[in-house]
Amino acid sequence: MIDYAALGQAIDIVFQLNTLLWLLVGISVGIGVGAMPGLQASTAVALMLPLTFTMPLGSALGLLIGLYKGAIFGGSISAISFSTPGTPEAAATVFDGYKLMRAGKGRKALLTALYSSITADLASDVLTIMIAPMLAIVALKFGPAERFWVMMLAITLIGSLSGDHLAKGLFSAAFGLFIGTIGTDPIGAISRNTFGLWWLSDGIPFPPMLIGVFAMAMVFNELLNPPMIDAAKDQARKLAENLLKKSEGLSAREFFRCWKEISIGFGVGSFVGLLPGLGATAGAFLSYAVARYASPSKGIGSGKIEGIAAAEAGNNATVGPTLVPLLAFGIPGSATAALIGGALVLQGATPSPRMFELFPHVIYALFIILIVGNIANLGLGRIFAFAYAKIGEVPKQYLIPVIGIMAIVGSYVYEENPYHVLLMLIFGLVGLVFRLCKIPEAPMVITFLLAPLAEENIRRALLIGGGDWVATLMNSPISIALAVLSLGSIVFSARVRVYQRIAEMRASELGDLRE
Amino acid sequence: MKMTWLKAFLAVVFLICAAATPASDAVAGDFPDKPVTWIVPFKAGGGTDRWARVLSSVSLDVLGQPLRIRNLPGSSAVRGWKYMLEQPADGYTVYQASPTPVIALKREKNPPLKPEQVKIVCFVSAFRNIVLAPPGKPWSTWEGLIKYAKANPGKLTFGATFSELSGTALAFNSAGVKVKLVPYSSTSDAVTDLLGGHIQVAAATESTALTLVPDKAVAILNGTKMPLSEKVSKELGNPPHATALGYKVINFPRWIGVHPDTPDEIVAKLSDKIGEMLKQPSLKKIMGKMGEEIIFVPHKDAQAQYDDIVKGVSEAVAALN
Repeated sequence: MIDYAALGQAIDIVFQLNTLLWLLVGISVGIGVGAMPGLQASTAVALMLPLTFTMPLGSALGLLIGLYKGAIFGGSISAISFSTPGTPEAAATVFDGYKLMRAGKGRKALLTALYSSITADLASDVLTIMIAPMLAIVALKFGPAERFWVMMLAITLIGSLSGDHLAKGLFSAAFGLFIGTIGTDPIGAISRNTFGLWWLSDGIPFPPMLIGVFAMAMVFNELLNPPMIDAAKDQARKLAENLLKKSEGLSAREFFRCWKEISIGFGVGSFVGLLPGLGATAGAFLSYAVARYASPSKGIGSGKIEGIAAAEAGNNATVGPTLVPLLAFGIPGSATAALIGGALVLQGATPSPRMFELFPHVIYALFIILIVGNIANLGLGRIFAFAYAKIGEVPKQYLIPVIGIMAIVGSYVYEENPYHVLLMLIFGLVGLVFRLCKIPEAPMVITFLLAPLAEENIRRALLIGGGDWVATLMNSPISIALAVLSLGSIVFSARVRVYQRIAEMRASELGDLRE
Repeated sequence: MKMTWLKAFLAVVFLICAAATPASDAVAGDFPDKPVTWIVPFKAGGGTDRWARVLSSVSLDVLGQPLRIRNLPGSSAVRGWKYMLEQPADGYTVYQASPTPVIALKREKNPPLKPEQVKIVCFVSAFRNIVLAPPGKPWSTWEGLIKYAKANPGKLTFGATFSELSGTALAFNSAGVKVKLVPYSSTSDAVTDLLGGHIQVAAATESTALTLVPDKAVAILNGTKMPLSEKVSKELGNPPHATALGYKVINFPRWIGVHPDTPDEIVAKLSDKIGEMLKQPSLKKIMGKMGEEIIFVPHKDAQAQYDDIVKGVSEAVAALN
């Protein structure tokens, strides 16, 4: 039921010059912060929070939501331009985005990221507005056992990301699983697998690891093949001319060709956003995996806009649903939701189960700003996309040192920790070995992300269930359904591989016959 | 000649003593004459970070110098502590934390430092540990919970973060009941599972409890030494206080510390100045809006209370194991 009086009040709060100006400031700063590897959306929101102490509600929400939305898009800019995910959420965008950038289609890649992000974000916001209380009840049904099965389903789906060789994919996943166990045991709170190094007691942080695997590994790889000096001089001469050229844009037809991937991103991202603890990064990888799984013929992973669309829609669709637990129960579902909750508290609208009843105008204002923020992001994002797309034209010999410096600075500024630079360099070498041996990085990254969450949930579920594995794992119809889906995805994946192998053998036999 | 040398020697000794004696006073008198580095060992945006940023908004007026806030998260807040110990013991590097690093250090077999390696400047606040249960269950009152847990030993599931789990484990021990302790990485995850019916009891801070009581949960115990304010207690349905029940529990202060070798005069001055900052109307207004209670304990009392907390945490950790 829509409270029209509160809606009118909310419109009044949002459509004021101050609110809209702070929203634009937030988006512009956010894009800059997000494009800098190591600085995350939540960091930008946290650092600007004191500014909101004295602001009216509309301006405060405009600034914080603008920052958040801008930072999420900014993350994809550096993922596409420099192969360096600005935020962990943008890591899955690197696979196709950077390949398109190097092919001179940077603008196309950036616009795909922008449009698919905004489409999925807008759809998830509308979904949240319409059925937030219902979504909240669904989210509560997922306890530790159900959440464990969601992770299992995600991990089985990465079969589609394991490349041509299943064994290499499994090795990559096993490596990710091991490094995911480094740190403090989530239940016993005791350090393990830290090699006696106290600074590893919190485990390996995600941003430096991602920057190492994606950006530094590429820098190392390029260093193995130093370009010819003459070629560098020649390319330098052409640089000025290239920068003046207009990079290939994105046609409406091409964008609509991605409807399937954006829909997958919207569905997967909205679901992941609802569950506490999973977050936008899991949403992006899971959506990317499902999209590859759903359309094996599209060649996602080899520089396709569909890959960017799936990853970006998957991460942005988590935005609205992440706020559901906050608005329905006063419990923040993510770090950013906690910060927005903090801003609401300062404005006198403490999130609680009675928030829809006590402060409906605040909830409406929040969602209207989320929607208006998308539109503003579209305008500003296009300008940034045009500027950054030129990076694709820069010769590698100039770009690679810049990426190297960004990787070092980005991994340091994340928490001002020199050990993170060391870890990033180690993971750069790991990534290099993976590249040279043609081992896919995606299974490692996704198991590293999901395995600790899966472990935490299964161990918690077993504690609650008194150690009875069957009763714990099959505790509800949701758990059983997710277990069946996980098993089904393994069987389906294996069958697809067998059919592909048969098709390849037939094709090669036909080739032999023709010869 | 001899007398001249002796006089000269005595004069030098006198000058050195004269220079040395008021030195600490002079240092304390001038302190601070440059910005103070304020270590927040958690990520930007958390409770401790918010406290530091609000304090920095009034530091120039009271301290005469700005606070340079540095977020140095990692290793359960121990990394920031180690950083503070590596800086000179001059009071210009301050560490603000909660019981989290103390618990982490007490759980480690080979901790990189000891919880005693700090001189406590003051406490600025503290959070209570409110035990929550769903309404309408046999364990929805503290007496009901004890009865239920005694009839079903080890069956009742209690979820909370390690800090809250440690504190409440002492209350359960004092009450002579055995419950299943389920650790969570955040209070919000524990409360979500309580609302979903996946665990039976959870612990939360009073601000979280206030959002859930009475619609979604019942407050059945204040599991800390500190009593609730009259207003909050009434809003939470007057839950029993663990100390009033004779239970041995601990407090959860937000504490501020410096290098253990810092001169006492500087620590005392810092403590006084922070006390003054907490009286600033703008700070009180923001903290009031954030639902944070200002509970100032100066240096002279805070050190002894901190030592008591370290002892309590050791016992709580033993109870958890």
